[in-house]
Amino acid sequence: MGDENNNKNEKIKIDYENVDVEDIMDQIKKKKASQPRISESELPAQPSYTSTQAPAPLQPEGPSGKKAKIKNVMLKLFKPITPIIKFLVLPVHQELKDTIQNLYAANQRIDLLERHVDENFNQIRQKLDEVNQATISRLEELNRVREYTQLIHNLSHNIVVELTKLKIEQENLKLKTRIMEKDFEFLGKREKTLESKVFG
Amino acid sequence: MKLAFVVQRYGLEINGGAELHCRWVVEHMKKFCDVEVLTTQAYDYITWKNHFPEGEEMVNGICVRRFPVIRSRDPERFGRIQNHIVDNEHTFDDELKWLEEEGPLVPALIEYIKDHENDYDYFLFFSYRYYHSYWGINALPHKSILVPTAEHDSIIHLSLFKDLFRKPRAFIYNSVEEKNRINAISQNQDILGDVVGVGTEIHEKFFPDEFRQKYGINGDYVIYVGRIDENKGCAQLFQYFQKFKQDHATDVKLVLIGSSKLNIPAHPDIIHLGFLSEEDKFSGLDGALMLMMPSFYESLSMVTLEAWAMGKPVLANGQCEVLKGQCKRSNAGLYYRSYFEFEEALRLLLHTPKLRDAMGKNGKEFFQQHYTWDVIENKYLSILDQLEKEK
Repeated sequence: MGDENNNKNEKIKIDYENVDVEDIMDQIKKKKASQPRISESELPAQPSYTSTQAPAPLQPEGPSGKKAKIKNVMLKLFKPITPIIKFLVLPVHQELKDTIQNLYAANQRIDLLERHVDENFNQIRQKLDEVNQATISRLEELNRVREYTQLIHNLSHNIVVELTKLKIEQENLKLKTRIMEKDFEFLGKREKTLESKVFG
Repeated sequence: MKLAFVVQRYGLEINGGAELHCRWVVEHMKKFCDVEVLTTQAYDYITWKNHFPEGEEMVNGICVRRFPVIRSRDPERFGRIQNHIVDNEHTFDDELKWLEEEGPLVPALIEYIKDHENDYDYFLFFSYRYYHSYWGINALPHKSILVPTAEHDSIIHLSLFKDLFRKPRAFIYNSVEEKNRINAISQNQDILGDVVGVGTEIHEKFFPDEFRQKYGINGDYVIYVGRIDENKGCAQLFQYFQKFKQDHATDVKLVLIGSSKLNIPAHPDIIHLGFLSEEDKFSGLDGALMLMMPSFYESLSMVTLEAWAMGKPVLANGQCEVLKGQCKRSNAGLYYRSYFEFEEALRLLLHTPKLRDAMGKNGKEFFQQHYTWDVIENKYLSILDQLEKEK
């Protein structure tokens, strides 16, 4: 055990004078990445504290008491023809006994199943109702989200249109400003020419 | 300076979670300031049913004012409302309705805070998710300090809390992960805050041999201390430990200390000792090879700090951000997110005493550096000083 662990430990390098937890954890993670994964389902489950056991089916009884005595007397009386009686009666009785036993067991199983269904029926129905309710509310929520998204989409679209219009408007205004600048320039030059002619 | 500590439950009988954290801080801050506790009459954290008498009471020399819970919580109804809030689009009013169901519903406590604003310098609210913190901080944000004790659950993303996290004057966080989460949710980096946590006191003497004798434990064992509950990751721990025992010929035992709400598998090497005294708990920890901390949700984990204080390494659940972060920062524990990692980490720790010793040493240093009461008290005092300077 010790050796095995020492061998395993060799892969993780530790500076004991200056322990670096982050580095150790990185090495463990790298080691993990290089080994096959252990799924959580392989871990031991929490113990179950309830158990249900099906009742054992009852065994049908064979002939007993007076019936058995009469049967013995009859068998003695009919001893000479015992082989015939055995041939005729016993297999039939055995078959009947087996059939009754099987039928009884089947009946017990059916009763058990019926009881289980009865017990769980309300639970199943309740669960289905809950699932149904949850689905309906989730659908309503989704519809609300869809409407909201559509609204945001429309809003975004309108914002883009408005921004485009503003951009065009801005370009026009820029153009007008440039024309006006040129007009001012021209008027300035003209003013200077007129001044030079009047005062010069 | 007079401080009011506002918490959902308070009492010597309450021995875990944010409530114990609050009590320890109160009892230590008593040395430096006037302290009072404002709380409810509840004892049971599921129903918040009134249990303690209303009014003033002295607990370990501290004045505790208890206010009545006007409506107990119906866990089934609360569960329904919480599921609706988490899974569906909802309004702010729905969130307020959830908060009312979450409770503990103590309007008298909020009224008291409003009426006695001038009697206290600061109100320290413990646990962000309860009624008292939300309405208390909203009543007096300029005098509030929040100790969120937030775990990584979906409730923290409610818009209710996004606003709440921007209101207090200061924050006292339990861990770096908690701070980052709250900062990311509410962008409240500009609010004064520090990662403080809580200190712990370790018994001076341990009796591991007597512990073994008393409970009939032979050979090596690893230990779990805390509530044995599915939410604490115990079911997964049992599964993994049993599989480990199947796969490896080792005598190691898993000793469990704490009350159980879970069926513990009948395995000869899983030993449940029930709820034990502090002395037995520490003696048990001292004799163990390491502490197992399988919880999925922890805001800090006091028992992990106790293990580190005693020089014991920890094997923690890596799905809990805080535990993983603490292990990385301290270099005093390994963590797992799957059976393979659990197997490798446990095997490594069991068969490498040198690693256990090195990690134990790191744990002790980490504890001394961040979680002794001197450090915790100084951090609280430093936050209060900074708030005073800002006045």
